[in-house]
Amino acid sequence: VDYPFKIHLRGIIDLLSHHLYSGPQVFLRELLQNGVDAIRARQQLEPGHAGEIAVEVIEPRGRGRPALAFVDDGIGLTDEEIHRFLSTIGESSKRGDGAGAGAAWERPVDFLGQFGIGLLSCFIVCDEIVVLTRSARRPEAPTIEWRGRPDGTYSVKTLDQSIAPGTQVYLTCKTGHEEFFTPEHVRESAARYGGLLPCPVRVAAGGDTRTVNEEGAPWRRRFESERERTEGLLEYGRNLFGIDFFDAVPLRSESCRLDGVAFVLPFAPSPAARQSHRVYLKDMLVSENAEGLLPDWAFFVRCVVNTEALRPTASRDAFVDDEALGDAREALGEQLRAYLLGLSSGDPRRLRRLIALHSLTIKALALHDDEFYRLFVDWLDFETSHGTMTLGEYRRRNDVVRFVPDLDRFRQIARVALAQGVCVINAAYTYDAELLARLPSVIEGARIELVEPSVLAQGFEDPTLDERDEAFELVRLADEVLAPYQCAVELKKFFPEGLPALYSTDPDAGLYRSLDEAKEVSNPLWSSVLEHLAGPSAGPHARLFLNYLNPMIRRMARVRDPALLRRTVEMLYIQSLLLGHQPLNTRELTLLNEGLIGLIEWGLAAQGGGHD
Amino acid sequence: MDGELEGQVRELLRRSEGLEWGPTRVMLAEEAVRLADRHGDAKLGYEARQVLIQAAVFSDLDERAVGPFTWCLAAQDRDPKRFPDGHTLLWQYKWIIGSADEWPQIPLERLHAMIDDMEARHRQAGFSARSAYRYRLGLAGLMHDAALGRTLFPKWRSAPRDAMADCPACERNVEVRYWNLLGDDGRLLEAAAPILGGALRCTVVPRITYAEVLLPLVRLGRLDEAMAYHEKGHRLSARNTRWVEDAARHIRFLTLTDHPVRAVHMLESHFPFPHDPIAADRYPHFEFALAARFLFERLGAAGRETIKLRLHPSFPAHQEAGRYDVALLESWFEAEARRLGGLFDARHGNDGFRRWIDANLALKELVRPFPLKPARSDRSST
Repeated sequence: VDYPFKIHLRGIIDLLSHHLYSGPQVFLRELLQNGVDAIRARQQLEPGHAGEIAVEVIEPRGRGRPALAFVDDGIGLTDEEIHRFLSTIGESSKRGDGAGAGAAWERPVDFLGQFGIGLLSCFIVCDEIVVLTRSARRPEAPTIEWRGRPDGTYSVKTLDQSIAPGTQVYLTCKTGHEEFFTPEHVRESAARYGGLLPCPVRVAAGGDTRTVNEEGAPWRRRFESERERTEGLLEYGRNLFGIDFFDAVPLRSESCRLDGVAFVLPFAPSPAARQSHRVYLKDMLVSENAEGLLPDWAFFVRCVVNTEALRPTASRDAFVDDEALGDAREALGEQLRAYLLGLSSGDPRRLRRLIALHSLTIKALALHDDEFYRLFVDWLDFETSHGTMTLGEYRRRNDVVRFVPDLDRFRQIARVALAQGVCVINAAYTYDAELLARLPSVIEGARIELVEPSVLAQGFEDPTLDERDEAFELVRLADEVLAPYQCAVELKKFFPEGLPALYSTDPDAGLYRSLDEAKEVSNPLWSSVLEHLAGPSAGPHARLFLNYLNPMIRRMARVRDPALLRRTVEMLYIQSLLLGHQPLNTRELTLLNEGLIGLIEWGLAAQGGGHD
Repeated sequence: MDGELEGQVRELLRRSEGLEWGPTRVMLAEEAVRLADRHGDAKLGYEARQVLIQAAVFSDLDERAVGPFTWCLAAQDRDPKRFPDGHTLLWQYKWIIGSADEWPQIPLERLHAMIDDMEARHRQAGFSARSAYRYRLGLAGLMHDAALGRTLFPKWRSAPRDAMADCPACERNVEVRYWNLLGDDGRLLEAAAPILGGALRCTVVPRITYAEVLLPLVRLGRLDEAMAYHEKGHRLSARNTRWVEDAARHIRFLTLTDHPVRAVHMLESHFPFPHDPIAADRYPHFEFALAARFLFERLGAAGRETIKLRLHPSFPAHQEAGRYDVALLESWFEAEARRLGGLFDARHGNDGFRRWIDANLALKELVRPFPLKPARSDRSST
């Protein structure tokens, strides 16, 4: 024998209110949605019908409970529709006859309503829902009263008196939910959810009736000029988000049935911050923090958008990530792109300010779009060894774009580069190196060069044979002393003269250092793992260039005391590590300590000290 | 503790955590570690390293996480009071093992020892062996050892789930990989259904799952579904050019469905070969080389002799002018795949990678052109 499931309605309502919906206040959204759907349905029947929604807050007298009346002059319900739509959970008037859930969203949009659970969401705030309704389909249709209770029972009866066609919903507040029945809350919620609705929504409380959606969608209003429109939209943005936006960009896509406005943020948002946009579906607010509506690169705008074609999730406060959303994302991205391109020809000064604000975004976009890259790359700021400048300025002064993709190496290089009159870009920041690497393939004739200390060193002058002989002992000994630190030594002549030595590392030297450093402290299991990972030693990872233009190095070459020379080389090595902002490992720290003590002792001895 | 130093270190970490995963995020964390070390502040160095480990692993720069992790583990073993854990290291241990097995130079016996060590530490802290079995199962997958997988799978599933277990979405993906190991595409897609349907997600799922179901769907002839997941996955995987394994799978799929331009674009954007030897001798690079070989084989078969590519100057076969011989690229990538596969097979003492290479050589039989989602032409602006 088959039995039907018994449904505990109260439990389901609790479940929905706590886990599906974003909070109890959504009941008002559901009521508005039902009302506006019913009006749209009636407009199909009677094209001239204007439609109106009236909400009345009934404040309590004496020990009474606050209540709410919600009245629309929409299509109303017949007796049969009441049983189908109001009293069957999961059914909704927009579903085609016999259509499965899969087909539910394929029908165009006239009946969006989710009468099924939508109305029942009122049980979150009340213990009984009373509905009076009269269908507009037939003039002789009776007025029907439906009473639903959260224990899952409902009653239906036909009334003698007749109301105007449409639906009236009466709710009496449940204890503990009074805050949802105050005039302020109802007005504010109605304005928030229904502010764009085409038919007037009036909220009455204590004899004071106000239309909450008088203004409609600001981007659909007519303005005298472009300028006025921008100002009108900025004002709207200010009221909505409390932000003085940098600019307002109207959005419109016929094919995605979507319109709205994008506000350009006046500050750089954290790239890790979530995009959050205010999205309306058929003029009803669906979400105030919708994600995925814009391409990832567009994190510099905040949008208010109305769409006719997207599919909301079950909780109706976000959108399903489907093809329609992908199309909308593409269309919106296209429009923002067109806006930026338009600025570059129409208002370059504004563009410069925008680029200064949102360089990260612009860089991200340029990475994926050649046309965009060509237009913007010369406007972008880069840090160089000669200060910050735009790439355009840099390219005017230099034939080859020279850059260093990592901060440590830039620090090592900048000083030497500066002394040699070479301007080098620090491309360690987000996207910079990738952007510069693309330069030759996008811009005809542009040349780039990755600068390493070793590349600069190629420009260093070699010592003469005599000089080489003079310093022979120094270099031989230095090489020997530094071999355990995977560092080779070379004698060169370079500017600035004041720099005795330049420490240069291979790109992967930092990695090997981090493995070495861990090996020093780890247990046998891990040190063998690190040993395997680093593989057989691939020779020195670093190079110390001794500068024979430097007076101190020249003096060192004349020292004949091997012990002193050894100490000096060690200290020179430590000093160049510190100059390159390299941390010292344990062995190098020991070296530093011993070296300092040794030098002090040697100094004291040279002073003729040491007698007690 | 030096307040100013601490402020500087924290500022660097804060800046790092504000960025997207990638080299810059890792660099800032490394800078914080260096700063703390330079001042000899081990406690601060310990904290900074924990941030660094996460940044490196999530940016797929795993090689830069191993040293710091080992350092932290040693610090904790030495002085547990001074370096309190709060289970962070126990959790990060899982990441490190998940990375370690992808380096062929680490011997099998060392990997087993690491997993055993992790299991012992987990048990000592009151957690079950579930994570250990999950990584043993992962290793079996890498070894292409279905028999070993069959014995490990029930052990993993029956070990209690606790706070040290992966999230439900990740665990579901472990199942997906298990059915892949067993070669059962039907079960694989059943297991993937809750992920593909959107019910299970986390920071890596469904991105990696989208990429992993492509070939099974192609084998089953379900190209329209495959194309839909390609579109979704492609968008996610394009966000980070270090997601080399994803890229390899999407390139393979685009080649199978005859979209060479998009495949070439992804090859350029996710090209992983300019890095140093530790980073480049890894499992994802093997998959990438294999997919690239397939792409150039098809281009060659279509009569293409040369192709212009933007590849990093440190790519061993780099051409200054950007013009490459298609046949040469095919053979370079085949040699690279065979070299890396050989390292893994030698470590595992079997021929799993060689057989997978052979299976890839036969992929051309599965090529069936299938349209991308039609491009939109909505360029109208206001």
